[in-house]
Amino acid sequence: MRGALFLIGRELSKTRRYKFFIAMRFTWFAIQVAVFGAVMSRIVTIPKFYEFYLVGVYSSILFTLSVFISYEILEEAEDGLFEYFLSLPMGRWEFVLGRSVGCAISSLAYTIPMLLLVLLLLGNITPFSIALSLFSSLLFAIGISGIVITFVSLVKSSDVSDIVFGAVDAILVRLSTAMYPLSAMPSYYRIPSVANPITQLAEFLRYVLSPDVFSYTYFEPPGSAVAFLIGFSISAFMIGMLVFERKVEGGGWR
Amino acid sequence: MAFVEIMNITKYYGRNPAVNGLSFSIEEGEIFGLLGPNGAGKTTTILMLATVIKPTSGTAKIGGYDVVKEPDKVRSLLGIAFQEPKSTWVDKPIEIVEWHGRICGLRGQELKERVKEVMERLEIWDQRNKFFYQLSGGNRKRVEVAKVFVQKPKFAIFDEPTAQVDVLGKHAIWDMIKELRDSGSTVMLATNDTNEADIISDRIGIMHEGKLVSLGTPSELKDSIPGGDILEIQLNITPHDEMVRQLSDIEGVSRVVLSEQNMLRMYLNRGEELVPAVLERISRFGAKIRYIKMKEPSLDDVFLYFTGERG
Repeated sequence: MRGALFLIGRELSKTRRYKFFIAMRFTWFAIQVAVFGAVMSRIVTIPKFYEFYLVGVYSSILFTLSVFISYEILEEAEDGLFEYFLSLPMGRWEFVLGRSVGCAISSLAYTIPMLLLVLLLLGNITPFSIALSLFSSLLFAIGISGIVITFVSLVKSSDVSDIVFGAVDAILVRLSTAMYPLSAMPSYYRIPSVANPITQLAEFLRYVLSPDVFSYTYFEPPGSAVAFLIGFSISAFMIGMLVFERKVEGGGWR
Repeated sequence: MAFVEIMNITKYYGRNPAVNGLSFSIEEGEIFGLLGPNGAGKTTTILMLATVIKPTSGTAKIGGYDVVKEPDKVRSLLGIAFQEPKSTWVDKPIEIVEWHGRICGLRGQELKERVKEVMERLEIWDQRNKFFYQLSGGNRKRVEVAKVFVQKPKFAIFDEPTAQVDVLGKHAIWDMIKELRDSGSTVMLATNDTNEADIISDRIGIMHEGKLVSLGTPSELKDSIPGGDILEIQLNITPHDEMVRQLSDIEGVSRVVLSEQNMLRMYLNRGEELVPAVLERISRFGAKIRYIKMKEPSLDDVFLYFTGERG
């Protein structure tokens, strides 16, 4: 467990270096919700669409940033750090756990200003809402980071990873309820949409932060979203651990 | 007592064996030099011992732990300085070395003192707060080896530890490797620098094309070359095959190697007695001698003899 904690600490120390990047991302987000979100909510006739949109755009950005930050393992591989990490006195499970949780916390650190803005705009800044939002976001980010790290370490190709995660990003965000409600989707989109972690995060956050919006746009019980996110993060970790113990080794990066 | 036992270990990349049925052992508390030309399989061997890559077949034991079955326990015993320094460009030397020390179990004052001492001896203390990308190649290498000196592992692996390092730095690193051994660590040194291997290794294994071709102490290796004397002759012409064949036929000549600049290198028994016969054969071909020298074999010669390549 010690090794995992050191890796988490290392990820967090890296985040401190990117204050400008965090500020820049927050500015983009603020412009997005102030301009695009406001205009969209005047066009779309669904009640309280702006509240619906705020949570959705935050969820999709957390997804994109989790992928982006976990992707750093490719850059580290170019610097030879992947082999260094594999030689350190820790189990592979510690490596997967440390990197997944470390990248997830970093992703949260990048998006906390955005989340606070969302809470402010929704008028729902309470310790309870903050805690539940962070908890569900962390579970989601751990799952995404675990999958990205495992996949990238297995295929060891920036080209293949770029193509796959470009496609995954395009499909997952669009086949989710981040931007449009389940009730507006054709029935054949609903099953893949419900099985989508972005949907589960977005709907749980809506349930916590804007229950009115949740109740008329989604059909599943909110407890299922939490169960999904817990199962998602644990599954990603277990798969990562198995793959790292059996398949992943140093060298061979393309 | 053997601390490291390598048992018929093999690693294939695709259809090509990088290491092929390698077996040898390293005694506890010795510096073992693994010598070989580029591509001989040294780094692949090291990475298998460090559990960074998995053997295709065979295995190795370090401190009694199997690298395939008990990799976590193996990693708790070893520290490795890689051939290429490992760091992101925006890390600082002090952060790199301290973080490594901490993850290997060092704490507080002991960690701080050890880091300072090692970095001062390697002359990188003044550069501790620079970014990694601002360091010269030699100083990056010093940061890489500093991690292992701070860690003081039971089994220390150095992959070309003095590449790009200046002469003073080389001697500092060699002294520190010897001190590490004297403090109880077992050391494996992979290098293609025969001088380095000769100076600090207790025993040396020579690898070529994925296999171990010779093993022994530096003096044993030097004595092992058939034809204890080496006669180097530079001619005014490029020696042709027939000349080489006729020289090889002289009784007492065990091998004739053609090297650069019209140079013949002959491995002889009773060299001083054979010189007249050698000169007579050369004169038959109308060649003139520009330079001739008889010498005892160096580790360079051993390396050249077993690998057929320049070290």
